[in-house]
Amino acid sequence: MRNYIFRRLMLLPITVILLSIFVFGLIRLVPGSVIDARLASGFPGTANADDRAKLEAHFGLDKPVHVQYVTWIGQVFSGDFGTSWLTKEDILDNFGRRMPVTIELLILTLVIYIPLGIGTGVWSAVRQNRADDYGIRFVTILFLAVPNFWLATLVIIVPLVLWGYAPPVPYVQLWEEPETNLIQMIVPAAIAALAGAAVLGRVARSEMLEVLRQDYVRTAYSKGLADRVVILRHALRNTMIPLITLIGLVFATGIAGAVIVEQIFAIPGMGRYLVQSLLTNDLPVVQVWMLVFGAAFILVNLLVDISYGIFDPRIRFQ
Amino acid sequence: MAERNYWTRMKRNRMSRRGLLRASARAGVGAAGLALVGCGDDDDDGQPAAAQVQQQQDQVEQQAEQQAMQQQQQDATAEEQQEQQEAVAQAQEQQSGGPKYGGMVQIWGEDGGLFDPAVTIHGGTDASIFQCFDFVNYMDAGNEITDAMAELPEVVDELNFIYQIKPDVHWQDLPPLNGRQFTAEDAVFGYERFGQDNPEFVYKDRYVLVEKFEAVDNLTMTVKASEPFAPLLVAMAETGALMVARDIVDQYGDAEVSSNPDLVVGTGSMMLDSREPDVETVLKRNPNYYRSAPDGGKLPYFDGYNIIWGLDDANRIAQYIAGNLDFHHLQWYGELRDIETIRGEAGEDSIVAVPNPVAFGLATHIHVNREPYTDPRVRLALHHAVDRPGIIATTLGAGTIGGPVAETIAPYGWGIEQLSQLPGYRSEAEREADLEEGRKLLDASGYDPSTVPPMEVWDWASDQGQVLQQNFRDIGYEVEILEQTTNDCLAARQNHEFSMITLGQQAAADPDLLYNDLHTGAGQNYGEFSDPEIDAMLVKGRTTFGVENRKAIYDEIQQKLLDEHAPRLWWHWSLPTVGHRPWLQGFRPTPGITPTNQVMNECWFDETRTI
Repeated sequence: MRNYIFRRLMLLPITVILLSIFVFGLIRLVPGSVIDARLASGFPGTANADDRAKLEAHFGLDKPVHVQYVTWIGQVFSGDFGTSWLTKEDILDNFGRRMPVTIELLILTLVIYIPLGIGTGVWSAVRQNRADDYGIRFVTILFLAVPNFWLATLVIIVPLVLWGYAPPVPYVQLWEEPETNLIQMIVPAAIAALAGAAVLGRVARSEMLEVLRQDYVRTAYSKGLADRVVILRHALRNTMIPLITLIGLVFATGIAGAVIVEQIFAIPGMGRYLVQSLLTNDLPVVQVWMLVFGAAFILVNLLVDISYGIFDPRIRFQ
Repeated sequence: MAERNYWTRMKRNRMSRRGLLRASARAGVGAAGLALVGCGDDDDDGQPAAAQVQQQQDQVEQQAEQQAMQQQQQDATAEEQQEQQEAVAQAQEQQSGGPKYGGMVQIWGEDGGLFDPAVTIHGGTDASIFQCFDFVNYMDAGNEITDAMAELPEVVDELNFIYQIKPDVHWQDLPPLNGRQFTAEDAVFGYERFGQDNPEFVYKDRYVLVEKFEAVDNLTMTVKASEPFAPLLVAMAETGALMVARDIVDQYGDAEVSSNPDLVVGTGSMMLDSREPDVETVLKRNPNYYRSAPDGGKLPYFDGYNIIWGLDDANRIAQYIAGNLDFHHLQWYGELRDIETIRGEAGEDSIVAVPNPVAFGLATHIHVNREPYTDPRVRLALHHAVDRPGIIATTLGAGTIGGPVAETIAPYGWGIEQLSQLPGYRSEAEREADLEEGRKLLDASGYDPSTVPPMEVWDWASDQGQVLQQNFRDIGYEVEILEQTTNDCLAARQNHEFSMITLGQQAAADPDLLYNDLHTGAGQNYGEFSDPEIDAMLVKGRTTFGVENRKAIYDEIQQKLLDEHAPRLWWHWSLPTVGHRPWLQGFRPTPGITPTNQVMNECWFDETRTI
């Protein structure tokens, strides 16, 4: 086990460097640049070739791409994430300010996602082909089909039309006004969780149905164990491997959801930061953002892999 | 069924044709004032510029009144409605009992995080600075040059102008300025700073024809132009021409000034109180602001601003309807959908819609050095084919057909009545004749249909691109559409890497924008159009003073462009519309890009405010 974790951790820097090359190259394939945005500001008479050359030199874009990359990755590994080209704000400062907001959103998303997904899946399996099973299946498919940006817009519009209510703005920090903060965050978290929970519920249901047909479950029932004990202690544990994989993936889907809900609900987190930076071709921010979350995603997957051994002792790490 | 277009909508939004004429008159006065102030007169009698402006203003307003009277006879019903609205407005004002102090403006904006007017690339970058800094002169409603920290300039001759700084202007009482007086030296530094050789300073070309800014005494700044340049005084008062203090720049440097909100110390009516990036900025009243109300009281009336950053479209409308905002953001391209939505949900009286004097539009740029557009007959054929009224009616629902100079740049821009008589702008039977002419031009050009490159279309103008494609097909010209994002379009246009591209365009306060658009080698001549005759006329336009003289020049330029060259397909202009609560009194739309950078020193809230 230790050797496995050690080897995986040793591979991490290599993976991150490969990821950084991929990210750096990919972003440079995107047409347009912050220079175009500045020069094409819409006001008359502000652009010429000399201006462009000066701005390119100013941002270091006049150097060969591999030189730009080495300079950038060297700064990142020395802890200097650089500054935004557009706002000149320190990127690390921005991460420090925005990361807790997104982490809170992700935690709330998980708090809703896991019980809702597993709970509905297990309940649906246990009540197979009954009215509540059909109802849950209908709802889960509905939430799978509905895009979360549409749902987010709907939860703003419907309360407004019915009760003249709009979500409180501006955003307040959890430690400043916990109650207002939770009111602001719970709905976006629920929206970010719903589609994932629907997937989790579907998978949990099919896994649970398979497990419930196993001999050892029948044996447990024949021993006279209560339903609750059979399902939660014996059956559920053996459905967890695929579910843990899915829960690990929620980190990625949660970030994707955060990009959307943070934008719609004016939450100043990492997702919103990415959108703003992408729209303005603020390359340093986008590069660091993708690198940090890519590395975090690799780490989360490592944790998921390790957790397999906890849920199924038959799994050995070699 | 009544015709539904931009102007009828505007009428519903409390702007009758008479109001429009008045607004046009004011715009004309602005331009006339510019020219008069700019040129003085030939005998150089030393008459103060402001008096000349007033004289011209009276004449233009008289003309506008006469036109309004004629319009009244033709459109009595609309006029009655207008009078009723005016009566209601007057009653409301009387009921409000005059200006009142107090209230924090609840407003939405976009936080770009830049705080230097010389770097700020557009009005939404960080709008709070527009309230914290101030202008020497500024463009008021109707693009009228208006005194601010300095009186309107005295015109010595075509090259020399004198600005008298008001003696009671002081920097805000914050370090390192600590409330010291604003002087002519400050004004000189402020303007010269825009022209510094810093690649991030985006307005530096505004003052390239200024030979010298000079402080001749503590409160007098002289401006000497290197050659006659009619739009100079407009440039001096343009949006963004905000004054930054030398003390701060010298002490902290340009980079720090643009990125550090603690260095936002200006002479404006508001002071930066707190800022949480991407969340909220709070401004509070500057107690030492120099401007006074008509009754002698101190301005501004508001206690401050709560600027909430970055609301999504749906959330923004929801916040307005729920009563959490005093302003709705402006509507682009004449679309009033959000305002209609708000009215539908919260009632007709929930929002007052005011057209902003900055015109925006959509146009199709043509690269004249790329086949088949090197042949002017192809360009003119496409110009004849564009169904401008059709595009606006079917895809925009608002706005007006556009010529080379926006109608808002009065009196130079051509209005709908004039344009609708011209080939390419006509409808119904006359359009058939235009299409026929387009086909003939296309046939005569002998272009190779197999080599037609795709037309790039801004993805925000996808619908318009499809209508254009059909219009071109009507004369037998097949062109593929290549939809592009905003960044892609800007990049293609900026790098001149397009054959034909449909994109947004912004008007200015002076027809000299055509110089930047079409003069050989000019900064925004993206399609590389070049014609010695047009070049000479454009130079003449910017160096000629007097509204009538300049109008004649720009009329000729526009006529030649439309009849002989068609270097660009101009087809749409509209006024963005600012929406605000009815309890906001005294609001006049200035050419700021968003509500957050409107000049609102003299606005106040009446007692009906519920926020």
